[in-house]
Amino acid sequence: MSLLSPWFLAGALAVGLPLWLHLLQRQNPVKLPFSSLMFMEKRQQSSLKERKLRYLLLLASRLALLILLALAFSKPVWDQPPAAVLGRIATLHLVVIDTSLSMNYGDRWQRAVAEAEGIIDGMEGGDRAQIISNGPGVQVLTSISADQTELKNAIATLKPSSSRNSFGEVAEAVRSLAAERELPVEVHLISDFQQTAMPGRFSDLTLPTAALMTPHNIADPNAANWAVESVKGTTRLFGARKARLEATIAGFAPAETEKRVTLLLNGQRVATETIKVPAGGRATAKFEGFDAPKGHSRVEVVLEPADELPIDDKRLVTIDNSDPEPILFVTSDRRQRDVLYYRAALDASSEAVFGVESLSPGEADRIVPDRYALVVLSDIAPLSSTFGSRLEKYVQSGGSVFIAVGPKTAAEGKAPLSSLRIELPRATGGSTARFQLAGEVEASHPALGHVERLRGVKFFRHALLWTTESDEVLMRLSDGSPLLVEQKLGEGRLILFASSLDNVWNDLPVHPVFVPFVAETATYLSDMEEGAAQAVVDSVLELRRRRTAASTVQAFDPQGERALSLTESLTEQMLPLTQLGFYELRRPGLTELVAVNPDARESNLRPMETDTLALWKATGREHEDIREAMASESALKPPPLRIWRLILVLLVLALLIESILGNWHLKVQREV
Amino acid sequence: MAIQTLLDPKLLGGLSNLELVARTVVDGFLTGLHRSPQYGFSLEFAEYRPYVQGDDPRFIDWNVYSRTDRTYIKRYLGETNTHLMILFDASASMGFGSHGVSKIQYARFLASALSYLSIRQHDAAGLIIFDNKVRSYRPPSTRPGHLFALLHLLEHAEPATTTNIELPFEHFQQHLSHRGMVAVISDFYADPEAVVKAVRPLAYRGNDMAFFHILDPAEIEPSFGESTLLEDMETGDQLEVSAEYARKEYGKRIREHSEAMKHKAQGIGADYILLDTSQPLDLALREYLLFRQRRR
Repeated sequence: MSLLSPWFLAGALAVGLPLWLHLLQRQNPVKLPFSSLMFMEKRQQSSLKERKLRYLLLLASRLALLILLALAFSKPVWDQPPAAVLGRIATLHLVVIDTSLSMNYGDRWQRAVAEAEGIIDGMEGGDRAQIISNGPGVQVLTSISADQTELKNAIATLKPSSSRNSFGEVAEAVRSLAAERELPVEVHLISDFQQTAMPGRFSDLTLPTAALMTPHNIADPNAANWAVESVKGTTRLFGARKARLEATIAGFAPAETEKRVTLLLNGQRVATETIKVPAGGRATAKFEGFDAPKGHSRVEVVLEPADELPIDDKRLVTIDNSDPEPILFVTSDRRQRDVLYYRAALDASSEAVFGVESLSPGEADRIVPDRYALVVLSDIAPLSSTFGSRLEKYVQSGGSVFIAVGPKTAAEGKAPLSSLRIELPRATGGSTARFQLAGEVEASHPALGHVERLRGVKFFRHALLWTTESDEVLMRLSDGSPLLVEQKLGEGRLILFASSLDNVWNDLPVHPVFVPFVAETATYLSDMEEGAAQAVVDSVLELRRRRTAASTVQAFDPQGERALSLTESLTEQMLPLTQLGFYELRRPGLTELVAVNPDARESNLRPMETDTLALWKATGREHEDIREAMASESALKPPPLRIWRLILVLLVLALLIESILGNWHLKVQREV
Repeated sequence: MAIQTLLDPKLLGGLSNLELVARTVVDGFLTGLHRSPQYGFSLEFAEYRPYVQGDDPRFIDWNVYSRTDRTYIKRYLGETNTHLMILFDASASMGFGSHGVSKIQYARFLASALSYLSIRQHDAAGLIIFDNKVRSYRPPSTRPGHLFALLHLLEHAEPATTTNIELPFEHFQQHLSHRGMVAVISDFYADPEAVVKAVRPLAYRGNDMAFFHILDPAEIEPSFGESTLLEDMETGDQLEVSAEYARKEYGKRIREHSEAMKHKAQGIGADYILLDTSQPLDLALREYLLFRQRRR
């Protein structure tokens, strides 16, 4: 017998209490008048002996009560004798069933279910199993059980999903599940073993000690699949801009195939293109020059004829045909060269949809900045108090300002809204031939993803920004001085550029990198990051942006059902996208569509190399000695029996005896 | 305690049958049960014996002398009334009772019954109530109203102090002028040898002795359920006694004591009757009378 919680045995020390009570209890015999003590003798010793004898029964029952109580809490288990097992190797079968998107292919799922049921049917005496699904994520469906009906019922509830498979997650889950098991573990992985489900590091596949993996590969060796891998193009329309989409069709087939690609706009067929998809290659279908109605449109790119995995033959995108987001550009340059370059850069960008309104500082006093997605202050001396206070309020409530520090701002020694100390610009060397290049760039910042370190841009002059620890320096010049600094002000953001936008202090505006620089900073500051309109299933959508943080967001799933309760629509920050299709988000005065597509990696049915699979299996065999030891031990030592019920019965029995004896002693005293 | 209680009609009815038996066999209750130790004047001839010096010349049969010229004394069986002296133990131990009737209460019934029986037979009845000394004394008498005086004494006899059986027996010897019957009613918590030693002179003087040993059932077979602290009702001493001892050893000792009393009593020609206070009183008297009958 062993104990699962031996520390509870310390409670048995409580037996000292009844012992103390019984040993130190004052003897208090009953006083009785008697005619004569002539024939009586003092037999104290005998009397006490008898009393102890009787009380010892009571004491024993009390001691048993306390000891059994402590024993029950310490979870005793009874190790069965070896004869009970007859040498059978009991095994824990972890049945992991791949429920990812690729399992929709052909009759893979039916074969996977049959395989899993076969494993359950093959269980022998002492074996137990646990059903685990993989996709989305790893889900443990049952507890460890020997009940085949329960296990098969769990299998029957499964169906293939639209999620992605990950063997790394499977291995991690198996390591966790098998960590505290006393039985040898056999992992039955029922899957199509896609190469794309492999983790980045092979070590993530390591199986736990003494776990043996048995792969059940239900993949077809000649499986062919075609999928709409991606759809890119102009999805934000405004003005006269026409929509343009480019669909990439991936073929995972041994032979070249001709496919029709159809574009559906809000359910209506817009265009069809026939392409030849090479064997194991990709082809592109382009759809240009079509109009989309105002607002959000649902676009489907459908591949025909359908193959055996139809779920990835369609890809969804949304087209947003709405007015451009306004940008207020306040400049002190009478020639407005900075506005020219800035607007040109935004127009050149296919991603950013902004309209630029330029004003002088004097004109800006009449403006309420709240309706602008972004305010750009280009070389502005101190703002008027009216506009300054409005602008500060705008930023505090979540607005953003891009400040280009030119000679006028630098001469002021302080930029509007910012507390940064700025020094007058100085010549980089006294000669115009001398310049500096951009040095460190925080490439992971969302506003600097494609600026390529401003390669080739020469900075002839710049302002010195005396940053503090709370400021984030996104870019530095080659001499280490800050070039691009981000500050937070209330709920909003400021980005300070330590040079001008008018092609005087630097030649950035005439470099191609100026386009992504302007577009990305504008997109970042206006909180309109790309990608929000398209998402992969099982990802999470951020519901609240800075400028809409306090507003209600109503979310509807592709079936039109509410994805959020009323309370969640006020407070929830994230929305998990678990279904394929169009999610609809309704904000006050604004409706957005989010197209949710399957992970393109699931479309590639190419199985992993047999050598790789063998290596994976070998991670479990690495500990074959231990496994064999466990197996032999298991053969002799069956799973221990939990005997707490027996302890409980004994406990009740001891309680009954104690009650009877105690009552009897009390009765005796009353009678006397 | 009312006299009517003491002389229970049922009890008297029970005794009445025995009295009828006694009256049929002998005159009077006590005379019917034993021969008078005195040779007095009576009509029933007993024997002749030669006159010796010191004999009362009034008893010489002159007719025989005239025929034989020898002097003979003619003797008759003297069947006279006798005296019954009841020696009543009123020590504290007699106050013990475990079932409603204490030993002293039972002893009162017994003494009253004996007194009534005796006086009804025109025998003189007396009473000594004692504990460690003589508390009350009433000499034997047959006068009318004497019975009520005895019953009055018995009624007011309450248990008190300790027992010393030698003192009342000495007093009894001092007050005994006639040979007769002595009934000792006690629980006899004393050494049998000492008791017998005290009464032996009375027996030698020709008195018929009867010991009525009164014991409560709880004294014969005590049943303590638990270890018990016993308090002596006479001395106030306390002793913790185990139930086991009370069941086994004590019972053995009290039986041995009773046997010793019986044996010692028989040694001096006295009767010994052990009376359990749970037994009916008429049964106790009937046993006594039957015992006397067997003795005859």
